[in-house]
Amino acid sequence: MQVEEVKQKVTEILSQQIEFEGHFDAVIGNMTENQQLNLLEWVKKCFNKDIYPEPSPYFTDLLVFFFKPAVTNIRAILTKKKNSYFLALFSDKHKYYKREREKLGF
Amino acid sequence: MGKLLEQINLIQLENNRSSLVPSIFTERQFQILGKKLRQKPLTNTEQMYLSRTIMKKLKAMQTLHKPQDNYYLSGESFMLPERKEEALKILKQAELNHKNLKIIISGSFLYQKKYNDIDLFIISKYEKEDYKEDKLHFNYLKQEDENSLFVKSISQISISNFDASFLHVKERITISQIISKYQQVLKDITDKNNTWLKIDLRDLIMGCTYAGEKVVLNSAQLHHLVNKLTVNQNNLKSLFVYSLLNGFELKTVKLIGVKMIQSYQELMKEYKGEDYYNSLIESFAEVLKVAG
Repeated sequence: MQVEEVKQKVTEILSQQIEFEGHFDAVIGNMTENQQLNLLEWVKKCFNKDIYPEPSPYFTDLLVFFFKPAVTNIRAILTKKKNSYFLALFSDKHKYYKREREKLGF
Repeated sequence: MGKLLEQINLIQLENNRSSLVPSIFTERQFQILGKKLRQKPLTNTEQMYLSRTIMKKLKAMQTLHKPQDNYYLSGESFMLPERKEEALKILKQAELNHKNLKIIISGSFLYQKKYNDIDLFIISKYEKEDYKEDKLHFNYLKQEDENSLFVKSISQISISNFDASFLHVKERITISQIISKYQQVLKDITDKNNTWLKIDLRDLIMGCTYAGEKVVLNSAQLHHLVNKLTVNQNNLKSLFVYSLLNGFELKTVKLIGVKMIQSYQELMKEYKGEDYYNSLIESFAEVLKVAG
């Protein structure tokens, strides 16, 4: 899938517009179709509340879902405002994922 | 003088008192050195002792520490002799492609028969992507990472082309970091994700022991504790509770404890994962109970 198609699918799953952060385009563009589908499946589970989020100990209103498959070093972070809308989907390599976690108070 | 003193760790000094007194320092000299490191004011006589005698001894000890060919070994007693030689060769080879950069070889390769990768950490001014070349794993760190808890920990059993024992932790470990690591570890346990459990547990133990005790564990100690806690997870809660209470202001701990319990209770109404949130609530309830 093209990057824009993945973004479109994420928007459809979440039924809202969100920000795409990190080196999102480059990372998604280099993923295999299977990896892209896994990511979309994970977003769907987050939306359907099948995956439970972690609250940020630093930002009271922030809930965070982490996507960290063991087989690749591509990670994703989906953020959501507590009892409200989704904010952003960050996707990048592990190194940048660690930095993003720190920014979010993790 | 200041630079040399900065390289001495007060805890390490205290722990090695028996080998330093009276062989190298007199009791009085040892006390003055301790006083200086605690940044307490010295009398004129003590100041004179420090500059005329103690500093000279420290400088002499430093020259002994410096190896002939400018490669440095830390935690040599943990290392397998054959790996030490191999690592040195790898380091020299890596230097050819990383001219004038600080390189540390660390990890289980140095002290365990079975290992996965050979970890090389390269401290670079520029952002670079990590990569693997057969068994070699090249990890690029930024210069500001040099004084992180992670680098201090890996450097304790290492072979490097600079004196890593001079590194000091300047990173501040926050209560948020400890809590979020604990959340991750409990999530890994709930999800039965053993690969991540080991990685997150390692970070948690490293953070907790530093926050609670100001102790930096080396890679072998962390490896041992990770294996122990993976088998017996009951001690996890105690480690978490202890590090929060010992490492942070009681007022802050109580405030954040109440806030986190509220958060988990709210999330339980909306999400699955009752076991996960309940374990977290129990842990914070224990924190608040002990905090009084």
